[in-house]
Amino acid sequence: MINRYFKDNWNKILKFNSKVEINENPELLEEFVRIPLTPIQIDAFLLYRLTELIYPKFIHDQQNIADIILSDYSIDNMVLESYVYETKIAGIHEKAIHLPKNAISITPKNDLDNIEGLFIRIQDAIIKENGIKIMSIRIFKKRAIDLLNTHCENLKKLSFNEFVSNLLDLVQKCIGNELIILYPEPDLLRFMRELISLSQDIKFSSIYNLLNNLSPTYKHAISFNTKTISFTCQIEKEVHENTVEVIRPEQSPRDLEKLREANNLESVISLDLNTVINSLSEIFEQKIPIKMDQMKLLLQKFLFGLRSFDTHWKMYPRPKIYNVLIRYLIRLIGFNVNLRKLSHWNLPEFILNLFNSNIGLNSKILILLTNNRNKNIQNAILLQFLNGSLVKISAVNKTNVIDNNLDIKEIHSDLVETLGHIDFVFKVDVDLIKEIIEKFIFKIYNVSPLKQYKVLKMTKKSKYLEVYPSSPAYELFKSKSSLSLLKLLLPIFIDKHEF
Amino acid sequence: MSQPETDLNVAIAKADTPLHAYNEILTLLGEMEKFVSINDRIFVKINLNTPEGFPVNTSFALIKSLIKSCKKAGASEISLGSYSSKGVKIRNIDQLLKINEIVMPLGAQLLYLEEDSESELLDIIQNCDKFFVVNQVNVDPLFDCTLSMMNSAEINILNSQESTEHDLEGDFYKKEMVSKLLSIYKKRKPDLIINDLYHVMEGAGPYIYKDSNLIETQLMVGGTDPVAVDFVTLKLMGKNPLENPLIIGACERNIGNTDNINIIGVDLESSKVNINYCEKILEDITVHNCSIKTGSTCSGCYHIAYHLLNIMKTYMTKDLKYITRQSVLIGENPPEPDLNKNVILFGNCAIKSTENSSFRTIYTSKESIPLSDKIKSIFNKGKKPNKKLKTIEKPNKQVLNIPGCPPNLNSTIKLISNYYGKQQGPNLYLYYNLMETYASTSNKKAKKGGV
Repeated sequence: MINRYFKDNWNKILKFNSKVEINENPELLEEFVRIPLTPIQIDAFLLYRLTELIYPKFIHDQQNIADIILSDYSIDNMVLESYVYETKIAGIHEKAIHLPKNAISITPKNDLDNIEGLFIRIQDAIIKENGIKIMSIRIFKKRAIDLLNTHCENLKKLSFNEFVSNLLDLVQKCIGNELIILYPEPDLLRFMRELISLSQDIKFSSIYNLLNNLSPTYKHAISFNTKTISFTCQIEKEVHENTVEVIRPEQSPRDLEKLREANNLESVISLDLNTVINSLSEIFEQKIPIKMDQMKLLLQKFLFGLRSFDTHWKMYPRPKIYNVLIRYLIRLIGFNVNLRKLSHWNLPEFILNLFNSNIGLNSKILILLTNNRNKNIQNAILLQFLNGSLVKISAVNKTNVIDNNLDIKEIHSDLVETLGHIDFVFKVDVDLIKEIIEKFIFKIYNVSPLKQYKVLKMTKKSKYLEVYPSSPAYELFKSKSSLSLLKLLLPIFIDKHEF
Repeated sequence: MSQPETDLNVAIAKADTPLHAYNEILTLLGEMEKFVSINDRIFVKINLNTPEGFPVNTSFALIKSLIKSCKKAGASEISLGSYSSKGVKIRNIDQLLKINEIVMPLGAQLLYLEEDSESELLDIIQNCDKFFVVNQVNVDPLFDCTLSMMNSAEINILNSQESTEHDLEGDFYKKEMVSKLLSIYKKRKPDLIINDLYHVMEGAGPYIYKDSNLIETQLMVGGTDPVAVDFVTLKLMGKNPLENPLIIGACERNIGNTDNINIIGVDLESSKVNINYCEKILEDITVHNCSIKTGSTCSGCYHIAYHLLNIMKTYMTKDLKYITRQSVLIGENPPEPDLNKNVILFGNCAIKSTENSSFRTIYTSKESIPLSDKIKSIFNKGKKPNKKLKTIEKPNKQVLNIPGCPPNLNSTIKLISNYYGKQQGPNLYLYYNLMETYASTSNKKAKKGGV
């Protein structure tokens, strides 16, 4: 029932996991496996350590799991296959025990509606038969297994970008159609389900492809560190293809400069893995739509992380903006650009309050991604806000007006008939987004105040950014020169003194 | 004044979308054809308070539906009109929000009711065939919530006029406002009133502040008698309508009737909603690093101070961290401030009644040598001069007077922004710039008035 390519790799992982406890120096075992469902090769012991760290945080922190495969059809007993994993450490699967055909029975009616009752029944049955007390169940519908099998069959043939797109579609289908059920339900699964329902008909893979097209070519590495693990992910984008390579711990020196030189990289970022996991875990705990107060808190934490250069994250080469001499010279001409004093505690609240009063608590915003070079609109996305929270994201089908017309006013009046009243239309050119992504994300080490100023100047041109109808904040933004705008905004963005 | 029984029909609709609720109201009241005849010229009074988003202004989706149903019923001319409450010309709001560009293709137009607006509005509503009011209901500090009767005249919080009489007992500001609001209804009552409370802003309102929260009640109220419609709206919102100054004022002036109201549609008692109203006690508005002290406060000063404190709370978080401590003293004989620095005296009453207060003067002591002792010490070098402790009295320069009763909110923000400067108050400075962007014309007017 399970694809062989997947099964062989899975068995290899189980075999390795069972060896770790009896081996004195498991880190010396030079074995490689694939990360399940991906073509990415990884050191088996590193995967062991990562699972040990990540699984309890994101999935379930108790031992012993039962996997159940259900038929898609309503038959008397829907269970097709069932397995029990006795796990000494949460998430570290060692041995699968195949349960007899009728060990567990699930009827189409009632059972899946009362998942808690079902779990207790399965738990009792497995204790009775195998003497193992399971603490969680994973239910896979047959359709999910078919999709997983198809994905795994294609893994060898697909390019990296195609693999990521396929994986994202697989996750979206399985979670969105409830083909995978976990009990107790982890926050991650609930978060993903709510995210899928928020984003309606937008495919995750199309978001990935859009972002991929907007990003420049790069060759970076991210070094993750904890007290026990250290590894590096090397990511590279060439003109048409991306690659990801996980570098083994012993080959990933903690010295970023050496790592950069050894692998001929543009830049290397070092992150504390525990901080990354904790931050993600906090995001997954949020209920979607995320309420205003929670959004403020998340943004505050993100900005705090951003300002904590050299403490929570490091980079080589050091971003020019952190160069004391450059900062001092800029300060002399009246601009305080000290990102270590980014006003993380004030900015989210100030910006969200300003956004609410300008846009309104309930609003519909249409975002048009234009391509001025080809004179067309690439994407149209409709965002709906309720009481200041984003409640719906949907893709807008291109009409003749959207496709061939760049006039924001005509698009606004044309779409009113099909989409109802739209409060604002934002027209953003892909060149501007590319510029922002390149300057502020991929080449952040090279970003200088002059480049920031250039991007700001670009945003003021209606060719790159246009809003219809206007709002007081947008009018102010347009009416001020880039320099006076910087003088107005920098004291808000940057703190005068540390608190 | 007794009303015909049919005039007192008030419809309450509850539906899953605002437009369904609006259609339900029309169905309950007898469809638009009952209100509009062929070739009627219709004037619709809406809320267009500031160039801000929903729910500060009437929902554009609702306005568009109303225009369509009027056109369908045969109306020849549909005009929309409003006053802004922040002193921005409607022309300026239209330039920003492009309302005419939205409504003109539907066969309506937005009128710019600007200077001399009251007489202009009176002319329009007396000359039109039908007069409709579509009102967005939000919480309001003075009248509990923004009722349809508040929609009839300008309540300009940025460039508020000073009250003509100054007597705390008489509370003339509120009385003058009630009289101003009801004066138009004395000449002509609307033919159709819709109170849109499908979404209601609670907590802080009627503008969007930090404490504002939008709740979905799914309700809409409609009728032909403004007093009856507002009466039912207040009841739905859990308030006693007979305590509302607008309802009391309207009954006194025989504008409407609160007896024999016939409610149609959903049941009133089971549809009541719980709303968090605006803070009635200014001290209860918690502004970071700001101590608020009030004495006897007139409704005018309360009204403007309420908005000022909410603006501080919403936009001045960083500024108040830099400032570290400020005190706002409001009304007659307010208590002494906690600290003598950054004392804002809000309104004439606070300024006058604290003229002799101790925080107005700063006492500094300085050691000094009298001149005779100095001369003696020159000739008699062995003798040390006697130092005397001298107390110097200085007026406290860290006091900001904001004159007016009530003070003008626009000038108040400008004064506070100038007092703290760009460095100490960067957020307020940006907010002031933002206000200047859309209220530049009204600022000129305010400067002429001189507060």
